[in-house]
Amino acid sequence: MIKFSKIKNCFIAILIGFTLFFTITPALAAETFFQSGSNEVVAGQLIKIDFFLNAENQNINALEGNIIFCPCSLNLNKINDGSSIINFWVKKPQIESDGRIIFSGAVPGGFSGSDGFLFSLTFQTRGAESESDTSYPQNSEINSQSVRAFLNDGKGTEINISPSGFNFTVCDVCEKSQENASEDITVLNKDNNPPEVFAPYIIKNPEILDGQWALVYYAQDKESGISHYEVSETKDKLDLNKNNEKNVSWAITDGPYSLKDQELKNYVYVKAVDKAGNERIAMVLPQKSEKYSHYIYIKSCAIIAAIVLLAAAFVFICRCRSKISKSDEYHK
Amino acid sequence: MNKYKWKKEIMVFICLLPFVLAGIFFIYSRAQAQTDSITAIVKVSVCGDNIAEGSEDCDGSALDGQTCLSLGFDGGTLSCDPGCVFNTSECVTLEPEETNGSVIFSGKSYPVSAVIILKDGQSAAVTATDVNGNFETTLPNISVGIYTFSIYAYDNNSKPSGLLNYRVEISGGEIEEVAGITITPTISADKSEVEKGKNITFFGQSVPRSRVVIYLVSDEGEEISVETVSGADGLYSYQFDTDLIEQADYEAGARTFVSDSRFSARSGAVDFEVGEESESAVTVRCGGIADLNNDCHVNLIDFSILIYWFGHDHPIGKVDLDNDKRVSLTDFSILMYHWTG
Repeated sequence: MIKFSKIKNCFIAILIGFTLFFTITPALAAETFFQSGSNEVVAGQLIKIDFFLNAENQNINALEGNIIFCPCSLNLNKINDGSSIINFWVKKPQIESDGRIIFSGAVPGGFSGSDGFLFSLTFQTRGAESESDTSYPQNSEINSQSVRAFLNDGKGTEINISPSGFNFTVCDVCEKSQENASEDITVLNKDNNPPEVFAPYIIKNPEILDGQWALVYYAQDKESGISHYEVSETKDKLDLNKNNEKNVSWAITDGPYSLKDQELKNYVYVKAVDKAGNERIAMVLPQKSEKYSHYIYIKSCAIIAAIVLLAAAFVFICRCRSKISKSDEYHK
Repeated sequence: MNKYKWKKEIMVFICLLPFVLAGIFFIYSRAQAQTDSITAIVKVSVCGDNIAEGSEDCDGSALDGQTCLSLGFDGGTLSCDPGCVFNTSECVTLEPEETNGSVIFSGKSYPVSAVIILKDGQSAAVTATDVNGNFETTLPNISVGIYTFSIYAYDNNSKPSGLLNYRVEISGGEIEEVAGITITPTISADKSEVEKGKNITFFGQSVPRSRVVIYLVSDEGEEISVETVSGADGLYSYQFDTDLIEQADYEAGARTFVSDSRFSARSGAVDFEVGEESESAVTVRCGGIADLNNDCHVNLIDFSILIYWFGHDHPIGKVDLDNDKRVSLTDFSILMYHWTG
């Protein structure tokens, strides 16, 4: 009887345990994760790994962190941030030092989904240097590190992000070799579309560039992502259909650009270049036209000179007339 | 007498002087225009010598470096006809692919108000709602790709609602639809601090004739909710008796229920304190916390100002949004919350 009661108690305890396990779900933390077409890659070949954010229904509007890999086994071939959920990069994903990629960006209104694409990394694995060489690493991994995320709550509340990693096998002959990396390179070569249309602004604010007139801009590219920006200031308007932008000098720039022409008499052109070399040029008209101001100046001078001359002539005529009349009276 | 005659001549001369000067200027301008030199080059070209020269487009196999592609075709083989003119009959023009798509946005907002649509954070369209708060607008001619569209509205006090984000994939020639959008209500409070036992009034604008639930969350995470109904103009207000809650810091947010199954996201929060005395809330329309250049918008310009200071200690002016004496990603997070595009 006692035995039966013990078994019964055990059974109830197990039942309660199971019920609690399946009904009480722990609050899940947001996380980043990696995804790839395969976790095997032939030595010396490319592997493309996508990096995602799972916000776990929390509304995240800013994210930064590092991705660490071993340069002894992997060589970073390319970073692609086209179609990222991050609308504004504070620091575009880029190599900061050997084996460390940094990124930092923000999205207005936030992201709360489970599979937000951040960017993709294409690595070249180290291959055998000779037929007998099997010294290359058989396994490789990349890991996210020091990832910080912030809630879209107006206070910049930081939340925990679970670290993540991706392991893959480097093999001579793989059962499932990855095909998407080479496809991705093809896509990059196929990217014939220029970056999206964008609008630069000319601003003057005491808080940047010592209150000088500055140019601010931001473009997006849905395929390969933006590579860099170039700025040119010209007195004459360029005919972009005739490709005569190639005849002017362009300065590669990043971030707010202090205009050389602080009188704003020049045309300002901003060129956004994507990673496939496609270009989109946006123009800002001169705020003060030099030709027009010269014309106004000459016209004003001519009018003033004519008025002065006429006035002098009028005064002179009046004086002469009065002298003539006085003289006539005297003679009479 | 001779003296007066001489003076008259001078007078006539002075009167005529402006006209003479104008005449000289005119003649000078014309003469200047006519002094430009003209250089003419005369060259004789022979069609059939396999050298493209002069007025010839091409000559035999010499195509002057041109191809079907350079002449604007999509491919094919370019040749030269016996008259030394390009033969483009073998060039091919492909049917243009539909490379752009459209999105239709529809939903409910405040009556007779402006609804703003951002594409990847930058202004793309503005539309107006009818008297019942309904809106529908199409964003045409969007290149293929995945976009984040953000939607918000301005209430009758020009206060923006929170952004609602939609990720949409645009395909060539396709029309995507984002329907059933319910703009979040705006919420304000008449006091920033209220003496315990006194009333605090919450007010704002919502979808007309909808149920508005107001959530009060204490700094310890305790939450209570009250509800009211918006009028035909979408306006609502609720007087809350602070005797019902403890002395603490609170934030209030609101949600619109058009029906039991259709409701908005929770609005942005308004902070208040239940304490020893009452203090009226200050309403700032322009130049708020994230509007760094005081132009009533939080957009690329403010982002660029913040970028300039990113990573720097002790920034000047309003740039340090979280007052930690350093511009970090936290400041960008605050900026993104207030974003209007």
